[in-house]
Amino acid sequence: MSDDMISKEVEIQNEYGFHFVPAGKFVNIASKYNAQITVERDGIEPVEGKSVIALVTIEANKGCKIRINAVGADAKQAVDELVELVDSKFGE
Amino acid sequence: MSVSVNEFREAVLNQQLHLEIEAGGEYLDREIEEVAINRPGLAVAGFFKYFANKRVQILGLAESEYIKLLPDEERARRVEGLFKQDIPCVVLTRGRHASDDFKCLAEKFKTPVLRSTMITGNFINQATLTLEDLVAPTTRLHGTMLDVLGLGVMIEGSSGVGKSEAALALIERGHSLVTDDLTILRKNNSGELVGTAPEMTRYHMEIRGLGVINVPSLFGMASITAEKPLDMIIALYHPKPGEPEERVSSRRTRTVLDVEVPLVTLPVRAGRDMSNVIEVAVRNQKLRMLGHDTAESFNANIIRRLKKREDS
Repeated sequence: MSDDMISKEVEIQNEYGFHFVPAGKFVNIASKYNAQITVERDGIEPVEGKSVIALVTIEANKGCKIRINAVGADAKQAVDELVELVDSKFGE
Repeated sequence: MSVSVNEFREAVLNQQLHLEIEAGGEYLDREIEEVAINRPGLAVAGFFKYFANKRVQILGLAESEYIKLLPDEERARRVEGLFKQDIPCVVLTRGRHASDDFKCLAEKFKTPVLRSTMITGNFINQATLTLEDLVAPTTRLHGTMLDVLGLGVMIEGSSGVGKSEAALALIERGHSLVTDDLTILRKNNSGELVGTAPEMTRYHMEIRGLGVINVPSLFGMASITAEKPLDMIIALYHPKPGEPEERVSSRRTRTVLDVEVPLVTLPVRAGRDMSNVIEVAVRNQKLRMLGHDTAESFNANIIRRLKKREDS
C-alpha cells in the first residue's frame, strides 16, 4: 500500500482540446478510484481531478501537456486508466 | 513583482473604466516594476533626483497646464527629459489628448501613452487598487464558496461528499453563490482573503445527474455574488467507521496565504440535511464574531453549578 504520488505527463491530442465533454469522461473514470487525483499544467496550480468545473479552468488546448497526479492505494491504476483515456483522444 | 502595461490596461478595462491608447501601442509589454502611481510634477519642472521612474506616470491638470505654458523649445526638452527616465507609461487624465509632438516623443522612446476620462484624483485611487490587486498573492482551493447571511463561507471536502448539493440547497434558501468547486483566493492589501470564481466557469455549477447549470438563470440575480471576503471554511467529511466523532468541537483555524481562517468540520451522513447544519454553523460563527461564544458560556455555567454543589 504505497502512498507516494504517482505522476504522469500526457499530451492533449483532441481537435478542440480538453473541453467539457472530455473533462466529463475524465471525471467519470477518476471518480471510480479512491485515490486523490489532481491535474496540473505549466504555470497553473493543480486542480481537483474529480471536478469537471475545476478541470475546464486549466484551458488545455490541443498540443498542451498536462500532468496527472494521484495519491492513494489505487493511484497507479487510476493514473494508468486516465493516461489511456487521454491518449485515445477521449474516444473522439 | 512587476506587471506589464498591457495587463494594467486590461485590468482597468475589466472594471469598465476606459483607458484609450494615444501613442506607443506596440510597446504595451513594457513592465511596471513598482506597482504605484507617480505625478511627475518636479520632473517636469526639471528636478529629477529621487524620481520614481519605475511607476506609472500621471499627467493631470496641473502638470498639463505647466507643460503648455512652457516655450516650445523648453517644452520639448522637458518632456523628452521625462521620457528619457525610462518610464513604463504615461496616463493623461480628464480626457485630455496628447499633442502630436508628445506622441512623437512617446513613439521615439517606445513608451505607451494612455488616456482616461476620469479626473486625476479618482484615477489615481482606482489605478492604485487595480495595481495592488494584480500583484496580490493568490491561491486556488478546491471548494465551493457562498455568501451565507453576509459571511463568505467556503465549503470544502472530497469530491462526492456533497459540496455542490449543499450549496444548491443554500441557494434555494436565499443565499448566494460566489463560485463552485474552485475558489480563487486573493490576499488584498488590508490582509483580507477575497474569494472569486474563475472567469470561465463563473456562476455555473456542476450537479451530478443534471450536468452544468447556470445559477442566475435559474434562481435570479440575487443568487450570485461576484466576490466576497472569506470569513470561514466548512469542511465536510465522511466519518470513517470506528473513528471517534468529535462531539464537543474545539475552535479551529486553517491557515491560507498566512491568514488564519476559522474552520468548522462537519461529518456527512446519508439523510443528514447539510445545508441546515451549515447555515447554523454560520449563524454560530456570526455570534462568535460578536464576542459570544456559546460553548464557553455554556460550560462556564455548568462549572459554576458544579462549584455550587461542591461548596454546599
